Amino acid sequence: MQYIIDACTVINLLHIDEDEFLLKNLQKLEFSICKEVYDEINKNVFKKLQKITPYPKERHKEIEIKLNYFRLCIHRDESYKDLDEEVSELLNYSKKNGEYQSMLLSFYLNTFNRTRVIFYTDDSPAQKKFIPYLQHHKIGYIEDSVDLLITLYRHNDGFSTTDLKRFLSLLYHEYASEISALEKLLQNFEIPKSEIRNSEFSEMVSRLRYSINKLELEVVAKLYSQVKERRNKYSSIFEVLIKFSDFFRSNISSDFLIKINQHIEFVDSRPFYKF
Amino acid sequence: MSYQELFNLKSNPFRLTPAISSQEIIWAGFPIIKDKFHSRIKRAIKVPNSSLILNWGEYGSGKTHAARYFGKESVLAEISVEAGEKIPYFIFVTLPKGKSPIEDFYTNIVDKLDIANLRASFDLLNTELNNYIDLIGDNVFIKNVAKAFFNNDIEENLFRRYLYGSANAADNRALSNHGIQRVLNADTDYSKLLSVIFSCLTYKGSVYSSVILWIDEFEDIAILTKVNGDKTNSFLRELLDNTPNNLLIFLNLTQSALFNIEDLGEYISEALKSRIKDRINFELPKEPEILKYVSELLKAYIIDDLTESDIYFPFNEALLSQILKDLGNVSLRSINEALGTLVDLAESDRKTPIDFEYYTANKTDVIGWKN
Repeated sequence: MQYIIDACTVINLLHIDEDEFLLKNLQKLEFSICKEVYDEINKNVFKKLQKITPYPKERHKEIEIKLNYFRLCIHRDESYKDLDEEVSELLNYSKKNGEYQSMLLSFYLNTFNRTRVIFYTDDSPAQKKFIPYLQHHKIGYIEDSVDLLITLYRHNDGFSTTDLKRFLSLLYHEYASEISALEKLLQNFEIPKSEIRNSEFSEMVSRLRYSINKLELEVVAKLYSQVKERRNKYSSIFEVLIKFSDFFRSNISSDFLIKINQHIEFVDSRPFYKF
Repeated sequence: MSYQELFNLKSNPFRLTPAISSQEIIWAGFPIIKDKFHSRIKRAIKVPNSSLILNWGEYGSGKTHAARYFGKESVLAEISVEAGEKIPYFIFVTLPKGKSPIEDFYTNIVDKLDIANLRASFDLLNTELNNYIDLIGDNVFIKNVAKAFFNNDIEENLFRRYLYGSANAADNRALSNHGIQRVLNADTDYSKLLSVIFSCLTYKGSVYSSVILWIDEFEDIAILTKVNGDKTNSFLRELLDNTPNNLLIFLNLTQSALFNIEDLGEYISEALKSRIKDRINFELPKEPEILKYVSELLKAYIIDDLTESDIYFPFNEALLSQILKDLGNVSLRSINEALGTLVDLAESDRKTPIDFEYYTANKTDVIGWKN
């Protein structure tokens, strides 16, 4: 089995792994990341909510050391890029982002190393888009950070149920704290006097408030894209949303949040098998 | 000037977020909720037992506003006079959401304690207070820190540095003469120290009758990690256990994307739940309540009482009823937003009074898509 990890998953691991515990456990798995994914991690790892609260400076060094480990996991042999044209057409996908590069590597490793692949990503649209292809061509599976944590727990003796609950809880906190901050800013947002005749503007604010309160994260992400596309028209609300651009980039679904909580409960109610 | 000329109002009364300045904070309408808080605070002043109250409602239902209003010295003084006791000591904090919630909680509370003023208020009672501190609890170190808190001989800035954990070597040397030989520990000392200080503040009811700790955004306990959620529960439980008398804690809880009142049991420990004495619900307001609210709010903003007789001016009752009907069942903040927008529009169009025809022409801007 070959493991490939996406940027959002690595960033989460870097943030929740305060004492390198996860990193040490992760080293026992054979996993790869694409160069583009590494660059994405490097670019975004300190950006989390940076416009609201700066990422703690004292933790920069610690994260940089951990990043070195992920640098060693970059799949240096770029032969997999030779499949670009073929796979791009097969997947009907034109973006050359990290998720796509990871898919390209999955196809390559499965085809030439004859190994099944698990691609870890929390990106909901990427999951929806690529799962059918991985299944149809018998390449492998897509799993998320929750699945990865459970795998690490199951295959490492020193990884206790308390550790598992702690990391799942930290993972939930990573996303939930951003949702809560976003919801509060949207609820407290006052429509500027200059926009009171702009019914499209107030409708956008109302839709955003309504959707975040119902935890319709996919709808909120779509509305964010609309605001971003017409940022001049929606400038004051865009200034609020842009603070959460990394959260929107992570593209997580409401179901994923529910899944994290459900699996925290499963640790006690339906324990995961461990030999 | 336009609000004054057009509407006989000081400014637009319909604000979305509560005012900060104490003079601007008024209570309009909703007499039942007001009475509930009033009687809860009065009871806390008169009855010694400490208690915990939950305030529950949607975003914009008025919980933070209630905290600001009942935190006003004039309001607390009025309730105290009624109860025939001294004023309560009021502390308002927001639930910390970071990775060290207990440290943040403690720091936020210490930030609000005016040490210089408190020392001055308790100056004449200092000997009695020290004897009292000796009687409460068995932790000599905590007692020494509490005594130092009220001790005028210890420089305030030095002592604050100690409380914040940033004392230097010279500070530590000075404090060791007062029996303080180590730093405070978040897990074991913070709640104990605050409890002793709270108990001192209400000693014999001489200066303060009780302590009111009002915690806003408590729903964010749902986004804390399990460990930090447990720590927050323990901290509050210890605070209540170690301050058995004269402490009233209000917890503001908002129905949010990640928190519903039905889930409360998941986040609040049994030990803490058993200490909840009451729940004050901020329900979605009904038409008669809103009409009363609007008339009282307008009255508070009116400049000259004599110029207009209509209590709803610049609106009228029929128009308000129609707007409320169009808005449907919504929070007070949505109502404020709609009426505030209508007033702003009329001000820019220099339209007064605001009638049905004007509202209809601007309905899309006022009502919006969905509230």
